[in-house]
Amino acid sequence: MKIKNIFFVGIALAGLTSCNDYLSVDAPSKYDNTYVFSNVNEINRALNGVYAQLLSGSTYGDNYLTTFCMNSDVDYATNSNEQSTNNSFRRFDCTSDASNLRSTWNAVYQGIEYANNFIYQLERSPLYTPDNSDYAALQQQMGEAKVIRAMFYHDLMWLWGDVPFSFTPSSEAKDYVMPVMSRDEINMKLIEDLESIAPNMQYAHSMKDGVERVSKEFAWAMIARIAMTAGGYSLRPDVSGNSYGTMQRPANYKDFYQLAHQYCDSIIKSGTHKLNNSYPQVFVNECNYTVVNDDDPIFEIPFTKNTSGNIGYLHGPRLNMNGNIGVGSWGGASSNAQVSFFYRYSFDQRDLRLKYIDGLWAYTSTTNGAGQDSIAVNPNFTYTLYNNKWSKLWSTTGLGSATEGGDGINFPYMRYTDVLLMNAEALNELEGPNDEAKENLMTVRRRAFDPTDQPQMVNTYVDSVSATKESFLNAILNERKWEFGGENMRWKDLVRNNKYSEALYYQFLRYLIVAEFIGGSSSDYEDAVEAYDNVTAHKEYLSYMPTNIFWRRTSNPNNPSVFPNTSIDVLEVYNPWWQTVRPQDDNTNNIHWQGSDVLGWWNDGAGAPQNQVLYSLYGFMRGDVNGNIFMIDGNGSPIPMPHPNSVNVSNLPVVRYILPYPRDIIQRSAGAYKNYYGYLN
Amino acid sequence: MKLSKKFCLLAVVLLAPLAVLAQNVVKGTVLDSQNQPIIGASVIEKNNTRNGTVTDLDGNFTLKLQRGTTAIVSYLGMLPQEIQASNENRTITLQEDLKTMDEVVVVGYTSKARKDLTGSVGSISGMKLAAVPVASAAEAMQGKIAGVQVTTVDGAPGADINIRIRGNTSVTQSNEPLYIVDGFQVANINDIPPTDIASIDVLKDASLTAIYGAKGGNGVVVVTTKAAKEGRISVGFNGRATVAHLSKKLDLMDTQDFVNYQYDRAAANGTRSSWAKYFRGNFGNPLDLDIYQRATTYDWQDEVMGETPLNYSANVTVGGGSDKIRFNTSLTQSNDNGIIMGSGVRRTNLNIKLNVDLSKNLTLTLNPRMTYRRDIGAGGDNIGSGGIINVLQYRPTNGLREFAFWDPATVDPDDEAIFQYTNPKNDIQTNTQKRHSYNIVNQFALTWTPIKGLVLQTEAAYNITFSDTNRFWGPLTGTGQNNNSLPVAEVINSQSSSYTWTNTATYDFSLNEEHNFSFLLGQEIYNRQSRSNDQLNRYFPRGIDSERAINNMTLGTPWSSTSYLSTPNRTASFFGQANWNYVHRYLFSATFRADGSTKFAPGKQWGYFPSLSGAWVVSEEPWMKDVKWIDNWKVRASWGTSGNNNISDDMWRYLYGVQTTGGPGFGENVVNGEQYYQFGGGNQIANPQIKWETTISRNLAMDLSFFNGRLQITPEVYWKTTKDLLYRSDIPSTSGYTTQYQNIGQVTNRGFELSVNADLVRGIDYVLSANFNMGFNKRVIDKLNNTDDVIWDTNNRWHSSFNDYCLRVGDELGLIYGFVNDGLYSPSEFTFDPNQNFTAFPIPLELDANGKRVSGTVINQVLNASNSGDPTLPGKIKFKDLNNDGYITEADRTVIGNTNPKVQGGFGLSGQWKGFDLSANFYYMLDFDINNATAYALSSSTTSGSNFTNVLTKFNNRWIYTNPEDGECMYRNYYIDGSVDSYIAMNQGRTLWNPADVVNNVTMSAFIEDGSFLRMQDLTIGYTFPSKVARKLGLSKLRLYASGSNLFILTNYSGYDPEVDIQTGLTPGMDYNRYPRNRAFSFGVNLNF
Repeated sequence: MKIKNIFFVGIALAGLTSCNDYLSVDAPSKYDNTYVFSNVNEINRALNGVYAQLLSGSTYGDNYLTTFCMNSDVDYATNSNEQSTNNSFRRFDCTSDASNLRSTWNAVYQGIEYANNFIYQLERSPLYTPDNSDYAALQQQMGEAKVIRAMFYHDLMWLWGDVPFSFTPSSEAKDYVMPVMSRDEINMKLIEDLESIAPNMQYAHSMKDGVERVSKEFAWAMIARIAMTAGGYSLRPDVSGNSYGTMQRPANYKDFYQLAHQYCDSIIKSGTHKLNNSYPQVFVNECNYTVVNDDDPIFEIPFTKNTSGNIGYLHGPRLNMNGNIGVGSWGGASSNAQVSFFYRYSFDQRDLRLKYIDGLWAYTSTTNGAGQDSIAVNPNFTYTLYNNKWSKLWSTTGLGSATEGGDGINFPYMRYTDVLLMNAEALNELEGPNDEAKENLMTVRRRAFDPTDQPQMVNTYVDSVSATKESFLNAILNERKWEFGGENMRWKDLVRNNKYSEALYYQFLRYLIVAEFIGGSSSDYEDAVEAYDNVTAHKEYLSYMPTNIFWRRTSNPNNPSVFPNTSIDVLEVYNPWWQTVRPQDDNTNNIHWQGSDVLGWWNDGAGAPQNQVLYSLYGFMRGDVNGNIFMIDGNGSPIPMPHPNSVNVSNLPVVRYILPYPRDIIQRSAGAYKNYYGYLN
Repeated sequence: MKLSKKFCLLAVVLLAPLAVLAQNVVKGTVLDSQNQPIIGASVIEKNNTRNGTVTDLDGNFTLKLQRGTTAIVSYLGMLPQEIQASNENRTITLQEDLKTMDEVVVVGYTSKARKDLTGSVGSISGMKLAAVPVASAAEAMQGKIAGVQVTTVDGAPGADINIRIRGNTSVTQSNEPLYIVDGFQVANINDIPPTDIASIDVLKDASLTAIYGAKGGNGVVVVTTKAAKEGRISVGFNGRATVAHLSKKLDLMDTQDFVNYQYDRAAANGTRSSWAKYFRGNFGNPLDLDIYQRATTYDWQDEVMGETPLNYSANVTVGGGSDKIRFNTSLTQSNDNGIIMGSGVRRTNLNIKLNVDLSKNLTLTLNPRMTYRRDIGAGGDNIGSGGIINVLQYRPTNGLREFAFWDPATVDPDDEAIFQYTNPKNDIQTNTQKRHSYNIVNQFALTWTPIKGLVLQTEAAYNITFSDTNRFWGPLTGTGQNNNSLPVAEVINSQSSSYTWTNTATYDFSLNEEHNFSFLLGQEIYNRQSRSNDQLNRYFPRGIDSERAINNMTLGTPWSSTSYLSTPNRTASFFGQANWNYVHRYLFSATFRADGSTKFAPGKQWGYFPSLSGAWVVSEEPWMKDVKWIDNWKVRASWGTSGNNNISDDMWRYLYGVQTTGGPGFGENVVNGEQYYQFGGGNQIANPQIKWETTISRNLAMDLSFFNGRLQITPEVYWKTTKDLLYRSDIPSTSGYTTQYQNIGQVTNRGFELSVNADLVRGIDYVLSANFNMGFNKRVIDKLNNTDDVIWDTNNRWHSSFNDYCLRVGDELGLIYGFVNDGLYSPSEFTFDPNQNFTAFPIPLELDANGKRVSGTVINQVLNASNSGDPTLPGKIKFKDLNNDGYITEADRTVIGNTNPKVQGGFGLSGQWKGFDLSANFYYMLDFDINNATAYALSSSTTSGSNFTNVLTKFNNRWIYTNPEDGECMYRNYYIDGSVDSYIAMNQGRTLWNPADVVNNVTMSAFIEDGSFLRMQDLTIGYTFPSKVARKLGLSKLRLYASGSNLFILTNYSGYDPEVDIQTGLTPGMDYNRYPRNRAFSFGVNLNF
């Protein structure tokens, strides 16, 4: 009896816990696909996750504008290291070991996975059906994710060429080592993917978040950009010999240009974007978190104030941090994304865009932390200048005296001017400089010049460059060069048209010529380079560089169109352009000029140009202290530089701008991936 | 059943009213072998248990006896003696019962007499624990049980202790054994004061651990704390004070040598190269470096690790009770400050045990425990911002600053602050962590014995832990600098709670006193869930100190605030066991357990773990009765399985988490950006296929005891196979993720263990005994996943440029792969081209038809170029070209080290003579390798030209580039005649490379060192005052002792200590950023009132 009771009690106790329900547990702080993809708001929150991937400092937030913005005659960073390194990407000198390669690669593929997963799950959501009243909104969301995915692949292929490709989320993938697909095939797939969804998307002006979200126009523009890239030249691997490879474009490239034209045309015809605001206002708006939905920007990457994006921190006048206190209420700025010293000389002096890319001075706060009462000539005046298109200073309020990066200033990933110029470039390739192409170019130039200068600088100019297809192409590339400084465009434009080697060759010589000039010797390359540059203001401009400049502090002009910040002192530079003698001090008005030596490009001790001159394009062209100048041939061997008088620019070595796959990607691929382009491993 | 009989007797004596059968009186004093009175010994009339008494505080007793009868004097753990009634006052000396055969061992939900065991158990008695002062229970186990490897991760106070029972079964998951304290499962035994422990039993083979199912897969450590005993209330006090200091220092360059080295490094690319300019800016003119002869050398090892903390531990125990209620309470307070500034642990423990007999057959046990713990500092990796390595590498001089007067008005305070910050001491002060934890365990058990032999028990334990971690980063730390160079502070409050509810029924019975059966049936549920709130604020006022920031989080700007409630981790289990023996001679036992776990997907949740074991007690055979010198001879064999589910929650399902920072800022409407869903566990992707990892183990052993227990020998062999290893694999990051849990492969552990205990000499008032144990274990990989037969891995503590560990089928685990050093490149392997600045060019390779090198200089493609140029140059490190293709590539790696100790074990001596006691313990590990990455860091220079890091003194004899006399760089020097010859001449006979030339981390044989060691773990000498002296002081016992720990270590290892990372994970044996061990001296007192 007793035992029986005990037995029953035991069974009862066991029964309390035996059922498998005990082992079915919820994750209280996490959610599954069924929950997330069953409600438009939750789907939107998942879509935010896709957008969040755009904000990484490893990609659009910073590295794409600095670390991986290859040196050109516009965007430029010097490097003084005499030895090869493993992470000097901008000078075409790296190994697969570099940690930035890996972090950027991982960030991009993480973004692709977010987009793949979102698209895959949304396609399978019970809500994603035409019967649903939210179907239009869901299709728009679908389109946003697809365009972002295309962005990731597009920019990935710029850096790595042919890459592993998949549209399947990893949770559904059989194998995590997806095969490498050629860029041509990927481009086709991306274009097809976007063409399928673009018609169902909405125009920016009809969306609450405007151009901070992916719109129909951006989807079209992205198709155009991918098509232009697909139809352009790029460095192709040498699969058998592992040389640096060759520059090639597909045989049917005109089909791509046709496609680009078609979509650019759709955007232009839709009339949803105009160039009403002045050129600087576009960027000043961004610095003030003002989003304008019907002007130049077609898509702005929606960085978040105080959290993500270093656009205003990397650009504009350098703002020194003194301890924790920066300049005024604007804090600090590293201003690391700079432009070449010679960029400014390529402009016509009347070009309104010019004065925003040649930042000559920086702000250093005083030791007592009182604010911006110290101002100095750009300490980097020597090789590069500040790009003042964006700056933390242009924000009227500032984020605070202690802030640095994470300024949240949006980056205009796609602009209407880009669409206009892509259209012109495509049309020129297809039909030569026709009226539509000329009108596109003129539209862009009209905003860049004062109405008084327009007849000459817009109409006459465009007519004169329209003589041949080639001259018109050069004009378009020049226009893009002046329009998109700091937007990581120039080297891509050059690659697309197979002019990268040529541009870098002359870029190297410009620095060398001026350095030798400062060192007291003259160079026999000067005439050839000046002829190539054709600077209208000064034919022999390279020998008239201002080796010392005279400046004084003046009060703020209080005119945002002169200097967008209206409360901080500015410098007046007496001779920003050319050598001159010291100006007279105006004692009656108490005007005293200060002088600064700049352009210290010659190393007297070594009797040679400074390392910055010799080594900033290391993997393509470099010098040594004995005055030898080498170019790196397709096998990685230094060969003597051809003289500009005898150079046939089409025979210059290729620029190995393509990066190696990160080493651990290769290691984990079980032999599926291999580095070409002459990389050792 | 002698023991239980004794208990019965004792109970009866105390229960029975003393019968007054006044006839004869027997009087006397009961003493132990050291002539100390025994208090509470029972004196009972033979065959009349109703007549008895107990000895008083002086060991005296008086008992009236009927004529012709005898009395039995007995005491727990002593051999009983029979005495005749007589009028004399007698002195009875009880001998200790050295036959431990009747000892009871706690095994799996029940306890068993040791003689009936069929599995392997290693035990340490509380007596042994009491003799040596140790900071933790785990430390007390070090080197004392065969096959049990106890290592501390490093020397940090309160550092994690790795207990490995018979090697690692899992190669990838935690190999932590299951800890059972007083029948309840706990997370670790770090916070149990050693003074509370009555005994530790380690269950080693699957026949014993199978009853615990999955949790027991790595063995079980059963800790029994001092039980509540009835009797007079006793009060004990144990106190200890300890002084510790760094046990070894590394030999680093002094200022003069350092500056010379730095110049050589900077000017290796030319006297006026860009790096040489940095050097001049910091240290002045290279020709005036003799000024540094008089400069101070800052020894950062002394400054940072030179603390000699005074630590203490104090414990008060109160116990006693009546026959119905018994209790034991212990309160312990200890403080362990580290030898590194800003590190330490303080603990307070309260342990209360209460037993209540509710009725004759119903017992209630309550056992609340409370622990408070405060940790300062966060381990070797978190000493300041760069860990111990940064301390060691930090420059020993400030260069020109040492000589200059700095007018405060002209100094840029920011520069100056950054400069001062980088000094390790300031770094540590501005980068702090403080953590408080409170742990409360409430345990409850109700035991009902409704009929003889049947015991029903329900046990519940509820454990709740609160902790707050307070982290502060000063404005100049990396974190601070990333946040506007302002301080950042974080407060994490976490709480975790778990409960276990176990119901068991055991039934014991015998048939004819021959067939003894016992059965166990049980069921258990376990649930654990944790919650955390994390508040992270930034932009604090610059000058704020850490305490103020933590206490006033509002002074900063909220950055992130998150809360998290984990998925419950649940296990449901059913188990049963049947034991049978025939007259304790033939024993057999079978166990089965089923565990269901929420760590796996439905359908893969249940694991089933059977085991079988048997034993034959040969010495019980009738034909052995005549062999007097063998007391015990038992042969045991067992087979069993166990499982492992020790991975994170929700690894099997795809889930999203909400992120509140880092989202897009549409219209800047939401501070920190819009919320978004993060897919998967960040970088980790789920795997719906994962399942239990299972281990099958087999064991064969003998227990031998000779000469009346004076010599005991236990040899054992075992063989364990673990399959479906749970491994957090690195996956190709093109998937969007970097890791995933997978079941891969199979590993086998084979081993042999031997333990020997001997009483070397034994007499009335002295005893000297010795113990010795050793274990051999070999782990071999039988299988990996189906696609690979090799998996490469990199230690993530020290990142090598190439994978430095490899799992290869058929190999042992923990093999280090790397390049084999072959001295330095000699100048004769190069041509110096006069047309190119006398640059050294390797002699071109000549390869034969098979692509093998015939002549020419082997080209190094794995080391990176340094300031002096390519990695293939005279004086640079040369590797063996194993495949002889003329190039050093990944293919030239081979096994250069084995991190598995071939033999490990310990030995000890303990003795007593009158009041003195002595104990000495040693432990050793032989024949294993360590990658001395700390030495690598101090033999290389991976930072840029504007950073100046220190190196080992032995590099005074390095390859040099600059002429020590005139500071000219002689390599590639085209303007000095005969520079090549001078360059070669000044490096004649140099065998050490220039640390400046090693700029990336490449695992190489030069840094693989043999770690074999013998450590004198502790030496303790104590003296127990005679009780007469103690009595005068009002005490019943007074013992003083002095003890030294880690007094010496015999090893050839050149780093701080070879005991690092031994057999942990896939990439063990990496000595990098480890908290160095200390040497400590303690003085203590044990008092009983």
